[in-house]
Amino acid sequence: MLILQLIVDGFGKGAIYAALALAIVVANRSTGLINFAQGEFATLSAMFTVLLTSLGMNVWFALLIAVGVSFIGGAVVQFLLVRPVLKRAHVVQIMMTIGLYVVANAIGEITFGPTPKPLAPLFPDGSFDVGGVRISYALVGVILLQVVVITALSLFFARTKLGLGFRAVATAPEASRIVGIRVGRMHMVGWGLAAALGAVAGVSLTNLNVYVQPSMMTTVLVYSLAAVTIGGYDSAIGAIVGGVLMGVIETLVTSLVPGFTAEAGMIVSLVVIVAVLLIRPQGLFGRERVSRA
Amino acid sequence: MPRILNDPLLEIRNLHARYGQARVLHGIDLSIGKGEVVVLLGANGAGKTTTLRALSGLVERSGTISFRGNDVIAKNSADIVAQRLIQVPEGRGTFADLTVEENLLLGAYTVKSERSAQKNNLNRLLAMFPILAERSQQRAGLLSGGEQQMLAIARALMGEPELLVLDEPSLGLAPTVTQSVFATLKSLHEDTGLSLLIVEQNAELSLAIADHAYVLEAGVIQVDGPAESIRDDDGLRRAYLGY
Amino acid sequence: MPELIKSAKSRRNLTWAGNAAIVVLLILIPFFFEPFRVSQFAQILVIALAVMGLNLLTGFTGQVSVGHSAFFGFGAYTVGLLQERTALPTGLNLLIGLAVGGITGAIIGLPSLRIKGTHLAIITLVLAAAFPSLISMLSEYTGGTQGLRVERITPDPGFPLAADQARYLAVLAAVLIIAACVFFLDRSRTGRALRALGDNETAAVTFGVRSSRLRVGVFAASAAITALAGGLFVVTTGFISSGTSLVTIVGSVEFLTALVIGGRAILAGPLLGAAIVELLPNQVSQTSPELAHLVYGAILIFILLVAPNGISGLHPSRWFRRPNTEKPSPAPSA
Repeated sequence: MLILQLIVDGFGKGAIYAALALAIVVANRSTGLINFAQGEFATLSAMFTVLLTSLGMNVWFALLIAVGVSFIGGAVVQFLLVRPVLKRAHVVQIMMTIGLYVVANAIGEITFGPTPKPLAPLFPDGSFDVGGVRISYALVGVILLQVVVITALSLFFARTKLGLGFRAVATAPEASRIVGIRVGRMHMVGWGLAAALGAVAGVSLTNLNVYVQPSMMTTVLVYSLAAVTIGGYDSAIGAIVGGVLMGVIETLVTSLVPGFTAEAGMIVSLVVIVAVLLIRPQGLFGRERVSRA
Repeated sequence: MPRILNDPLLEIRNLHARYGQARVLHGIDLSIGKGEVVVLLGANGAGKTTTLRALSGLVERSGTISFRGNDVIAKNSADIVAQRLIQVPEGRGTFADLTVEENLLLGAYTVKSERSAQKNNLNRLLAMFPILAERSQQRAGLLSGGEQQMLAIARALMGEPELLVLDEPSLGLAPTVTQSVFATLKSLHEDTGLSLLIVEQNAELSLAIADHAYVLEAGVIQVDGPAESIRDDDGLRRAYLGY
Repeated sequence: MPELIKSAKSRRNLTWAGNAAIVVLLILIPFFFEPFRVSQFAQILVIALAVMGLNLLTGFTGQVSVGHSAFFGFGAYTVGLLQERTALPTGLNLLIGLAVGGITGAIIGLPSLRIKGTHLAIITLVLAAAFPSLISMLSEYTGGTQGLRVERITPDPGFPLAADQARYLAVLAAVLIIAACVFFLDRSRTGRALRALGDNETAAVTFGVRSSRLRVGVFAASAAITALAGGLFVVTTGFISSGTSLVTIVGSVEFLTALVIGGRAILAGPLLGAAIVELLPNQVSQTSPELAHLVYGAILIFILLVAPNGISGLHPSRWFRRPNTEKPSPAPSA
């Protein structure tokens, strides 16, 4: 059945949107800032993975290293460029993430070049049939990988001391200082985790028939922004639900609605965002203070 | 003349503090000995909370603050907590969105000990504050004012403080609740010898459990003496404490 | 007290003088440079106009839009299509483009500005990403990636000025008119209300300032101005497509960068920013365009760290008082 096939495919992309959306939420919860460069960071991580595999490294190993390096990179960027503007007007902070977007994009263009390159697959080729719906191993693998990573992250937040400290800083930075948490360090951890998650999302995307190239994650970023709008900017669950929803919506609309080609996904995102803002601006799970103007 | 202690737990000399351009403290001297309960009184705006913020490194300050023999004036708040100078801030400062148990665990954030030791500590405190044990899995924001105050105190105790500092523990609490809070503080002091610095507007209750008292007015210490003599000095009480 | 007034007044006079000098210089340009340069300057003016729209938004509401490239595009395509498919006069088409910009601005602004927060930045980013797709989808009418050729405005044969000079002056006229409008808005009751809103919203609302309406109005006006710039772009350069960078996210970033570098001043800010943003990459991209992007982004970040008010913000007299959206400085701790 076509619809079922589309929905299943939508889940695959949705998993990746969910991962990047979660990265955005994690960074947001730690510093109160939506990082518009999150997609570009993920692209850089994917490019780095290509570099490692071109040196002969096994792709899974390369992914692991890329995740680690991305964590450090995210933390360093937060420390050097985001921390200094946290005291400034919100406008300046947003502009800073845009600046990061430009720089990250440019670095990708310069170091990687414009030619798209494939990345060695994480999962074996082939697919199987379930009730007339074709499911590729890659699809299953991508979904499982996101699930594993997201679960690990959730466990980290729920069960570990560092994770608890992070949640404390996310909800009440002043009170966190009172109990001796180093808030600045937590901010770095938040951005590091976001970048690491983005790395997984970026590399996973290549397993859905996407070549690594500059701006490869730009459309994913847009879907993820729509996802966090649906879910609420500070809700991890919201990001996941929103991401999967966007994946399914995008696939259905661009395949079924006449006149809507693949590119029209951007328009779909815009419509979704406007709809959410009109109906329930804090999102499904968000608890932002909604101050009505 | 500021009193001079032989081996003070906390010694503050000539402390100035300001928010931006506004100078709030103009050279404060204050000492606390081991095992003492010291109370800092004064009206609204006198600078009491600022003093505590200066203590924890949360405001621009200059002067000398020496805690357990170490100079802490330049340290950041995380280090000061690690030195076992722990505050229960005004308004409790609990993590409303986290559970009671998580709040308590966060109190021990700077304590380096094994999981089992931390678990023991947690259980010990839950036993000391049965109301918290009852609600240990509830969101802290759902607790009543008095319960949150107990939670804030218990959380501070999780950090194994040498000096427990409380900012206006009676704020926003009904009289009976306030009394039980102070009763808890008193028994803490008596049972464990914990040193306390209490900042309060409610002079009567706090003087009742204090050893020594200071009165702060407009950023300057106006009165400095044993709690008993301040209690008994009608003129002084009327002049500075309003009763 | 008298001293204060004197210094404020003398600063005001200095700014008047400064702006007057700028205007005179701008008018003289087409008579002292060769046509290629004059066209380049016209392009800078177009971008400056677009940035003026953005400046209106950020200066009055403290909000960021990453989507003004879409409004630029709406204006460009509206005017372009009207020029090519109808016999309406250019001036009218430009006004229609302006209006279309304002309407789309209102449509986007309405849901986004009711609620405080980052919503506007997000929705405008998505708008900027969606616009090229929209053009592609409607490629039957718009020419999609192939683009739309539009006849450039040309003076009649008897006219004393050359084509490039006339085009330049047409754009300059628009720039100066809009600058004057913004200046008067700043001085008006509405301007005061907007600044009050930016300064302290809760208080302003109690004084009867209808914050939601005002904000949407400002956003619509800002979109309209940038749309006008788009319209002028298409009638002076003659071509627009979904690949034209100024109607993509790249364009939005360019406008924002110009805003940040140039600063808040009504006229000088956008001019300075547009000039730098247009000329600098051309210098650098002799070597490689990617390097130009990098330099671009690095300058943006540098300015944000060092002088977030931009270059014209360093000038002692500022047209706009910065809205009080800053968080209180945290006490020194970690």
